[in-house]
Amino acid sequence: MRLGSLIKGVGVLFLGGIIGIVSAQWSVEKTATAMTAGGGPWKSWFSGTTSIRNPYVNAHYLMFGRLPPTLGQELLFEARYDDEGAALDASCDYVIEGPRLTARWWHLALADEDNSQPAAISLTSSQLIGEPDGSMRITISRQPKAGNWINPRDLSRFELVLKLRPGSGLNAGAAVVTLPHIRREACT
Amino acid sequence: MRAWLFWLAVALVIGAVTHLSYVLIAPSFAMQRLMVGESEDAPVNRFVLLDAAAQMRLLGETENEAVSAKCVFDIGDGELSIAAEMPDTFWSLTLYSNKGADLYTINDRQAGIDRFKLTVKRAPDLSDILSSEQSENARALSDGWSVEVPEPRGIAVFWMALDYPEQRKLFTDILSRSACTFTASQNALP
Repeated sequence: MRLGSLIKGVGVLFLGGIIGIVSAQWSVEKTATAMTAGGGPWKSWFSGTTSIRNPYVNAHYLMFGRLPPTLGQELLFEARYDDEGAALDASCDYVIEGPRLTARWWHLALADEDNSQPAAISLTSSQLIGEPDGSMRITISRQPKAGNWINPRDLSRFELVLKLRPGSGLNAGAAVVTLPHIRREACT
Repeated sequence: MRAWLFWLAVALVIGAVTHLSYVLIAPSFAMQRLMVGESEDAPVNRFVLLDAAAQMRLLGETENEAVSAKCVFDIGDGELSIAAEMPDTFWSLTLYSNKGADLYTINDRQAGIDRFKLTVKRAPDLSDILSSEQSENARALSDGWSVEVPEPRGIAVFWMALDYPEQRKLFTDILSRSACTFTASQNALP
């Protein structure tokens, strides 16, 4: 009888813990808003117009080992899917293209799918080679490509993290930023 | 039937506690880990230049992309003076609380100068600070800036962009002239 109660107690504890963690992760995920001027797969947990006061938003950044973006200095966008809605997969080539970002400094990084560790795979605005028409085009591929090329190395599935630093100190809203498209090309 | 309802209720209560812990408590521990990095005994109220690994952990940026430094602070019984020397480039200085809230931030264009002193003090009344905007907390003084923050513990993050990797040595040399100096309040002195 006692053993039965003990097993039941442990089971309930386990079940409660799972319910709590899953519901918290779901709530954190739900606080993100699709924020691009032209639609697309980019999401932001930070509006850019007011300081972060929502604990779910704060948890999103800190639980994945990132400092939350600061008001007036930074905007942070994340994408786990391409324009067609398929998960980003390092065995495929992707082209990220669109108008050149207007931020004073920006940083595009590939993060591990579980997002727990920042990957040292990135490109910044100062490294970008602009297209003749003024737009930008970045290729993610395991094979060397001409122009702006990011090698996903040993990542399998990944997430794109785009950090913009407008530099003006003004509270630019995340919703008005035009972000690049993520187009999938060939997969191996 | 009643017993099942009881155990279900217990599971839901545990779930609610876990949910709140995940959202409210766990991020504070995560922020602590970000603040101190790998070392358990990270220096407090001292300026520390970040090496490549520490910068990647804190900011997710490589040594070819940016130069950064930190000052983990605890101004529970005094105030902190940050003497910043920044190179002539795009830089920012941001103060976070130990819960991850941004307390104060400034960049090169807002500051207008690359060498300044920022005094960080504990806000006298927590409710006043919480109900006011950041811009109201920062007041320009004749010898630099002064900011009153609602949280006694946190981290100041110095960041500057690199246009090309070769700038790192020069920018690091300039930034390393910065300092964080803690002064105990009169009440705290023996």
